[in-house]
Amino acid sequence: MIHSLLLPCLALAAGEGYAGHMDNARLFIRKAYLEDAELELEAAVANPEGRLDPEAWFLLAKVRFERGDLAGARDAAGRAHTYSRDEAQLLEASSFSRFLDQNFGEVRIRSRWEGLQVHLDLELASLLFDPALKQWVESARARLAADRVMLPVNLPLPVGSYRINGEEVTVVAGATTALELRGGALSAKGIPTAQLAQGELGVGLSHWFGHRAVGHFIPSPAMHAAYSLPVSALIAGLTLDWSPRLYQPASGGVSASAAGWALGLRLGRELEHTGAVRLRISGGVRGGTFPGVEVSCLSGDPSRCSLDAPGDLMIYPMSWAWIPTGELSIDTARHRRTTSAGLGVKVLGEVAIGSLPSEGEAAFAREAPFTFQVLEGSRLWAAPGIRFLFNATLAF
Amino acid sequence: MRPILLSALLLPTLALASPVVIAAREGANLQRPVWSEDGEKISWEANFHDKKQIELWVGEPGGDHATQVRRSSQSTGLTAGFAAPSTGGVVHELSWAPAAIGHFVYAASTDQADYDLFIDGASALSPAPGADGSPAWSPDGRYIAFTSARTGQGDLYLIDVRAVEAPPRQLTTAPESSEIFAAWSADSASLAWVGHSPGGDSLWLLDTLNGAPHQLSGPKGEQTRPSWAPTGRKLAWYQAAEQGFDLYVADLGGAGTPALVARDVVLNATGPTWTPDGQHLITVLDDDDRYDPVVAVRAADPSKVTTLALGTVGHGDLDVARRADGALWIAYVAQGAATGGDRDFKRLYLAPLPALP
Repeated sequence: MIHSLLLPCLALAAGEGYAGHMDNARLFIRKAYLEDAELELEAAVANPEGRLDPEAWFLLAKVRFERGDLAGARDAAGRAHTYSRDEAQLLEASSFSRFLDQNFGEVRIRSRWEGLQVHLDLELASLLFDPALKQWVESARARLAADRVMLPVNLPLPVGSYRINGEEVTVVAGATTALELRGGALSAKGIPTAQLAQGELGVGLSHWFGHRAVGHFIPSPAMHAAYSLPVSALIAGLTLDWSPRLYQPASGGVSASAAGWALGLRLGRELEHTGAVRLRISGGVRGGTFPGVEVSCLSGDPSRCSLDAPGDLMIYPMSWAWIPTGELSIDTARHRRTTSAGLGVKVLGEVAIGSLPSEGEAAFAREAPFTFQVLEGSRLWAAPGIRFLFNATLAF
Repeated sequence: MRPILLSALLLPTLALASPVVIAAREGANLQRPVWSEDGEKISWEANFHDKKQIELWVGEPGGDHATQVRRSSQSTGLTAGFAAPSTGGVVHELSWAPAAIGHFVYAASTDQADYDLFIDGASALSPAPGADGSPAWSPDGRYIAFTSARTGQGDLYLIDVRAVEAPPRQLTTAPESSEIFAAWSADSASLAWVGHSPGGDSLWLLDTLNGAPHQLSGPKGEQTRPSWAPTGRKLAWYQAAEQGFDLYVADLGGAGTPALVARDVVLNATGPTWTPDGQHLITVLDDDDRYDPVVAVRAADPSKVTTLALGTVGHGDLDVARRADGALWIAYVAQGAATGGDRDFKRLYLAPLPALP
C-alpha cells in the first residue's frame, strides 16, 4: 500500500536521534507496523539517550510480545523494571513480567532427526478466557502456517492444551513441555521424507578368515556407499560396495582382483538421547561377486576342482556370495539450515556365503585358458569377515 | 408500615451457632456476598460511598487471606507506554462460573471512564464504548449474559466463552428500555431480566436463546431482580408494594401464577436467595422494630416462615450455599451484634444453617 511506503519516509524525516526513533516507533505502533516499530525501539534503546529509558524498554517489551518473541519481551520488560523511575512504572513493568510468567509456558518440539524442517499446525484444545491471549495464539498459528520451522524448536504458548500436528500437549506456566513428533505428525502436509535422505561414503579395510578357501587373503581396501531414508522408526538403505581383493596365490607374490562388487539392502535404527554423537545399529544383506577364493584342482581336460580335495593346481575363480551384515555406525553431525554433514567410523561383522561356478575357464599367465569343473557338493563355502570404515555422511 | 400478618408474630425461631465476622473494611459497607457454586469460595464488595469506590474481594471462608480483585491493567494491548496509574475506581458485580471452570466474571471501571467486563486474570471482554455490567455466567458454563450501553439504552448481550474473542451476540433491541439484572434458569436454557423503561420496571423472559422475549404476566407494579430456583422452573422476584417491596414466586414450569411469599422485604443485591434445594427463600424483612430480621420462607407454603436467630442486626445482602461438608451456610452483611459492639459499617458474617422446616 502506498501509505505504508510513505510512512517510513515520513518517519525518517522526523530525525534519527533517540526522540526521533521514539516518535517513529509510536507512529508505527498506531499503524500496527510492529516490525518497523521494533526496529525503531531497538534503535532508541541503543542510543545513549535511550539506553536507560524505562518507557522505551517497556514499549519494546510490548511490541516483542505482540510479535511472538516472548524471550525478547521478557528481557525488555526486565530492563524496564530495572530502569523504572517511580513506583507506578515499577508496578506496571513488574506486572507485565508477572503476566508473562503466569500465563505462558513453552513447548520444545523435536523429532528423531535434527535439522528437519516442518510445518507446524497449531490448534487450541482448551478454553482460553482472555481475548487478548486468544488473539495471540491466532497470530502464532498464522506465523507457523506461513513458513516451516527447523526442529528442534522452542515454542512459547499461553497456558492451556493444544494439538500440534495432531499431537496433544499441555502447556504449564513457566515450564517447558517436551513434544516429539513422529511419523505422520512430522508435517501436516505429509512426511518430508526427502528432507531426511542421507548419503554415505566410507573407505577402509576388510578381511575374511575362517575357511581354508580364504586363508590366503590379505586385508584389502573396501569402499562403501549408501543411500538411506527413514521408515517409521527405522532407517532403510540401499548399499553399494566395492571390495578389491588382495591375496597370496599358491605361486607366491600378491595378486589383486578389482572385481568385488555388491549391491545390498540395510535396515537400522538410530539410538536416542546420545547427544551430539549419532549411534546407529543396522542389519542388512548384500549380494555380488567375490573374487579370489582358492580352489584346488586335478589337472586334466577339464580340470576337476574341489574346495576340499587335494590337487596339483590352484585356481582362483569368481564366486557369487550373499553376505549378511551387522553394522555399528558412530558419527557426529553438524547441522546447517538445509543439510547436515557428519564424520565417523563404522564397524561391520559379516558372513560371506558363497557359491563357486560349476565350470569355467582359467588360465595361467601368458598361457591358453583351460576348462575347469567344480565337483557337485563342493561349491558352497562360508567365511566370516570384518570391515572397518571411515565414514562421511550428508543428510539433505 | 402495613400491619404484619398475625402469624408473623408467632414466627418460630431457629437458633444458629454464633456467626463469625469474616470480613470488614474500615470506612466501607460490605455488600453483595456471593458463594461460588461449590461453596468453597465467597466474594463480596466493599463500598466506600464517600470516595465513590467499590472494591471486590474473593476469599475462602475459614482461610486467613482474601484477595482483592484488580482490573487487569496490562495488559497485552499496546499502549503509548506506561499507563496512567488507576486510582480507586469501581470493581464489582461478580458472577461465578461453574466450579469445573473455576473462574469468575466481573465489571470494572476503566481508565477511559467506561465500564468493561473481565474474567479473572484476563483482559477486557469485548470492550466497546458504552458501559458493560451485570454479567451473569450461565450454570452450564457456556455463556455470559450482560447488559451493555454500547447500543440503545442498555441491551442484553451474550458472550460464548468458547469464543471470547468474537463480538458478543445481541439478544435484545428495545430502543426505549434498558435490560438489566439478567438471570439464568437452572438449566441454562432461559433468561429473565428487568426491562427498565419510562413506563416502569417489568420482568421479561427469553424461554430459549433463539426465541422471542416476552413479558412476564404478574401483578401490576414495578418488578425487579429476578432469581431462578436452583432446581426446576420457579422464578422469584421483588414486586413494588405500597411501601417497599414484596417477594413473589411463580412456577413457570406449571401454571405460572405469581404467588406472594413475603411482604416488606429488603432488596438483596443479587435478587431473592434460594436454598440449594429450591425449597426455601431466605430474605430480610424490612422491619425496623426487629432490626430487619432474616427469615426463611417455604416457597410452596409461604405460611411457613422461620426467623433465623443470627444474633446480629441491621441485615442486608446475603447468600446461601451447601458446602463440601454437606452443611448449609449463610453469608450475610449486618450492622453488628444484637448485643453491644460496633454498629458503624456493615460487616460480612458467616454462619451454618440448620435444617429448615
